[in-house]
Amino acid sequence: MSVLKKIRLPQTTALYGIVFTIIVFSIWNHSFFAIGNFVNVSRQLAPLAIIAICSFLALMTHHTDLSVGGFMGLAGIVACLLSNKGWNLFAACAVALLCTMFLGMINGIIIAYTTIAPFIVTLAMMGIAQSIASVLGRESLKFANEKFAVLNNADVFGVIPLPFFITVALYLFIAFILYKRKFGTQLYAIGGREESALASGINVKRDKIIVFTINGLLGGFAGLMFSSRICAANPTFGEGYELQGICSAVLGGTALSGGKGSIGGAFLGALAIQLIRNGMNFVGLNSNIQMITIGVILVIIITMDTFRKEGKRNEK
Amino acid sequence: MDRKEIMRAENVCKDFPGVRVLDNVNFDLREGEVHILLGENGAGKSTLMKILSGLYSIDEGQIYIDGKPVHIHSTWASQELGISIIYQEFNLIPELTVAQNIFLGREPVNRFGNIDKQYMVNHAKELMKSLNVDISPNEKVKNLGVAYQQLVEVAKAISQNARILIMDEPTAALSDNEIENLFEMIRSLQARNVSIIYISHRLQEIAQIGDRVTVLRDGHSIGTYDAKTTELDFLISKMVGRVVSQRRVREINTAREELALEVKGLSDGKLLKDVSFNVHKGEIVALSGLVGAGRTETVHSVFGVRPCTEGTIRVFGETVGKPNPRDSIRKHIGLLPESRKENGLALILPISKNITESALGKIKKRGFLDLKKEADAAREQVEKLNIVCNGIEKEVVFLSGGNQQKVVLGKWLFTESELLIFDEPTRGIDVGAREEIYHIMNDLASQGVAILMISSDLPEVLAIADRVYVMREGRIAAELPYEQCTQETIISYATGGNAG
Repeated sequence: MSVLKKIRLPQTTALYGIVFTIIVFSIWNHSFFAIGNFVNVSRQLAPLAIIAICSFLALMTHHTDLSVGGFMGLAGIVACLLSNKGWNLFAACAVALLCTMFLGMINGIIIAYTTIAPFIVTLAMMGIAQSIASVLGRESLKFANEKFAVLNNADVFGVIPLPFFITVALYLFIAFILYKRKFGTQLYAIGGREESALASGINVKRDKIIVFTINGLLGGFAGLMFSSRICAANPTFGEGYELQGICSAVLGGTALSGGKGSIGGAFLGALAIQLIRNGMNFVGLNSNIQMITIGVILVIIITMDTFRKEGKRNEK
Repeated sequence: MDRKEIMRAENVCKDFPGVRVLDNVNFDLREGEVHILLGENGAGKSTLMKILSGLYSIDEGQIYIDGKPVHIHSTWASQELGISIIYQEFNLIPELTVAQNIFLGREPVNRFGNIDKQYMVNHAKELMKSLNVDISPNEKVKNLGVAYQQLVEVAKAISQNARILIMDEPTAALSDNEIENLFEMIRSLQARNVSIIYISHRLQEIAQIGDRVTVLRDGHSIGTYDAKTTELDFLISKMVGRVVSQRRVREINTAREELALEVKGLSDGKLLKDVSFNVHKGEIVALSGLVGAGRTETVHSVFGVRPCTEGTIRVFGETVGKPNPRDSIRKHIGLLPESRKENGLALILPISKNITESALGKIKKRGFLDLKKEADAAREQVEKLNIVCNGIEKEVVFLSGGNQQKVVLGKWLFTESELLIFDEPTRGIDVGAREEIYHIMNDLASQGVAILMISSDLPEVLAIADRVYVMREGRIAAELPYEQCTQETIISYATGGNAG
């Protein structure tokens, strides 16, 4: 399918990161390098990879979306509450997604129609989403209906983990939109040079609202995937994911300044970061050390992105 | 030759809060003509163009296309009426390809609603061929030079079936060769019955490419004249409302014996080869040549913004080892860069801060900034240079081009520069402000300041230079005293038309 050809593999750090990580952790603990482990990783990858899509879309329009982590927690809580009240799982999830989608749309409207910095808008929304979740559901809730775990545990065709399948399908769909539909070109144009996009008749406001609404939807969905792993919901699930999503996208070649990047790269970036986390768990690193490590890696990645851009500028 | 009228603006008025920007402007356009729109910055040219392109609405008056009254309510409507506009800064998306840019906003779709990339690429290829240009439609625009980017914009306009093409300062960033190509293209567009509204500050182009010229001043349309036969001085007087002539501003050569700058054998291993020249105190020396000849690079190397591999630089008799901007400023050299908005000013800061920026030591008092001294310094420069502003606390971004340039100059005068290097001193500045800057330069030279000026504007070079160096491909091709200079000699040395 020609769409597959369009998922350009970027000449970036993501691939090196993946290879490097696998080598390091495999040496550290041989069991790391096992099919069983990798299958696990592919299951765990889903929430981060989906958030990476959100970060990618937001970055493409030259904005950052800090609220997606909050949406993750909120969706889980809403779905859990409704399903525990006896609602059908699908319906519960659908309502949860509608909620986060609605909040995402509000993000989009405020960002499109006012001059308030998107950073601040989405930061505030993150807090709002978490607060709503806390008010609705206190802290940790358990899903009474254990069928919910199916979302995480099932295998497509008996082999491919369902979360992985869904993630890849989502990526292919987004790639299709980006490269085959006008909307995709419009996004690149808006991120590339917004005034020119506007002058060419592109409805920039509408497109931004769409992006943030999609982020609401996807953020909520990532939260559901996360919750299904342990069949529980908590307003703080998803904390920190927004930053890791941004780093996945940047690791994969998306410019922080927008208008440039590949969705395939975002996937690889998410995979790299997920492998690192999985690896650190595997070798039993203290969770504080884990946080520090991830933090350091994030700083290195962003610094490298800046140097890479400056290097290109000097070359010209 | 009576061409059919294709567009007419009748008694058009446009108001912004507090000011009437266009006041009963009348303008008409005939099929296949190049109609030049002339006027100082702020005269209303870009407002009128924004109305035609659908970005602004009219408050009073009417626009007719093909004799029928129209209401241009959006950029889309403007395109539908066959109007296309090419802005000075281009409206291209750098990361997208040529084909994508040509079809931006109007991408062709197949029956599934998906973008038809093949159609786009094919169509773009044809367009490029018809314009005699060899660029791949899949090339990203950011990899193209300015002249080629402009061609992409033209292709875009043709692809939109433009009947009226508005070009805003199309030659501002082009070399002479590229300008010739552009004129060729414009003539071929005329042959296709495309009408062109052409805005330019370069007066020599009026007779070269124009058919008629309309002058705007302070929001009024002053008159429409024949481009080929009307005297430039007459047009200029209509533009500024007073008599201004293109004669020589500099009357006496005040060059002194002492050398301010002496450069010998400057090379940088890339472009510059064995560049040697000098500037005396009190002298105005011009560096001429085509875009890309190495003038800016030379000057940046002298100031220390750019490294050099060989050569000696002596400033006021002292040899300079490795120039750098801090030392250069300490030695009283000032550099007014080519793009003043990017490299010469802090746009969001007020006039006072910009003026004192490079000599903060002079306004320090016990470790703090003496704001009173800062204000006094700013006011002194504003008065000396006649900077038009609403007070020294006004941010520089709000000033006109000419006044911004004066602020940059004020900054260097505050550092008491004795060698001033101007890179395109009057680019994008209207005629009235230009005269002022020439007089200021003349006065400074009389006081003993050495001036080195890069200029692509030959009438400007002839107006104030004492001596001219012509550069070509990284070397000095000729050194001419003013008496031996004509536009033709300079150009022929710059292009290599002479055995030199």
